[in-house]
Amino acid sequence: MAWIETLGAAVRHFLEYAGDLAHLAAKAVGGLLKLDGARARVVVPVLKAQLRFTGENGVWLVAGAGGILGAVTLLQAYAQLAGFGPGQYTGTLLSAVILRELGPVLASVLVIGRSGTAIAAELGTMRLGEEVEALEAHGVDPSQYLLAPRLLGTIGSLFALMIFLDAAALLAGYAVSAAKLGTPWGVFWGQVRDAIGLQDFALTGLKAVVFGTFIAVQSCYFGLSVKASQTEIPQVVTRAVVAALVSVFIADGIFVALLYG
Amino acid sequence: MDEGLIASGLALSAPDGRVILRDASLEIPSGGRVWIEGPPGSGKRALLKVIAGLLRPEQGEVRLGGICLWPGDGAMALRGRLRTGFAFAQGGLLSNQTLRDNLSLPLRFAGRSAVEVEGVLDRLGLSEMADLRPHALGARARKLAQLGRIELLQPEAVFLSEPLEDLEGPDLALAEALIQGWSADPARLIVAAAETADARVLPGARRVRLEAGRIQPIEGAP
Repeated sequence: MAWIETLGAAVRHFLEYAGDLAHLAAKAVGGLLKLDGARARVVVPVLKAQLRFTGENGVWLVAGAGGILGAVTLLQAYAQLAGFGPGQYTGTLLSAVILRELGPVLASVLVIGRSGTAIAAELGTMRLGEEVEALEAHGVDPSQYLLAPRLLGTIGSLFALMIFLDAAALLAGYAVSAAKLGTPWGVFWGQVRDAIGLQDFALTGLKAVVFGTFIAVQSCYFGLSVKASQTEIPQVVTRAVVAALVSVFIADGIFVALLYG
Repeated sequence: MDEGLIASGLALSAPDGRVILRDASLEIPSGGRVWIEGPPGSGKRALLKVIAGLLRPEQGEVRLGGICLWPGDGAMALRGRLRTGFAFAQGGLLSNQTLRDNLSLPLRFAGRSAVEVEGVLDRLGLSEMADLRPHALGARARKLAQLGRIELLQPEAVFLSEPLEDLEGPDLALAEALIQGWSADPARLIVAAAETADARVLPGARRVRLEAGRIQPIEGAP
């Protein structure tokens, strides 16, 4: 019956992990809600720094990736659907494939690579330098000063980056469509507008909240789990990346199953 | 602070499994002063963190000023109820903030004025380094900055980990004067940890020794 013990231990370990994440997320949100004027003045610069690093500094990378994704998707579609008049579906195809699915996931992957790693490494280093303990010892709540701005900054940045990625993909897609098939802008834009609605915009926002929460909370969790040694930092960064990727993919699968399944 | 510090039955292990605390207990009345002595690696820094609510013990209870730290949220349970100050043996300053911001952050977070920061920096001879970040400072400046942060906060309970390490000459005198100034307040609880106690800094302080995970009084010491 050793396998039952192994299975039980794995389930217990997962439940403990999920509980820890939920606790950390609750602390971050609670910290955010309890910010008063004085504390907000201290935390807002941290939030701005997170938005600048995750959002502003990542725009060109994300836009470039979106542009390539949009162009490649259409080139592949034209190659595979040559006999079906693919020009009629250019905008629809891009909207369905990129705006609804690949865009949010690709933006999340890039944010995990750029910012999730940075958050985990930064908090791990702060842990080793007794910086987190120094905050606690002197009445500065780490959930307000460290967790809340990283959570909010990641969600806000991710939402903005998803929009940038979608826009870049659409523009690149249009460029390919215009070059290959001579599709006029008005026709292309009409297809896009017919294909997407307000609910798609809301879904992008919802995905930004869910994916951004997974990325920020897990990056903080693993970063803060560093205990004694510099060698733990690359290990926790790897764990944060893997956990964030897996959770984003699973969450996206659940979204697809619920909405289109 | 009506009640002092009560720690009982503390147990703690290092990540490698080495026992740091084993059924360790310590009681300090309000306004009490205690030196925790012990050889390097004995766990006195860890003990200091546990009783300050910064490190969760595996077992045991800690109450400070009548507020339960462990089991519980540690130092976060003290927010808005009791101020503490902690001088770390190493680290303890935010690496992405200047010295000035490190000193003013707890004040600004509590909604208090930070006008005294410049005066304290000046007193400690740190004014010229105020815009530098900790990595650009020497050990003495970092140590004094931590003491300066406590001076600004004027907390009800002070925890000092190797407070005089790396200091000599005028810097040592400055640090001693600060700590003696804090001990002039009869209600303030002060706990310091070092390899050997310095009786001049905390006159009349009770001396205990951490050995094999247990806290024991030092024979012949007050």
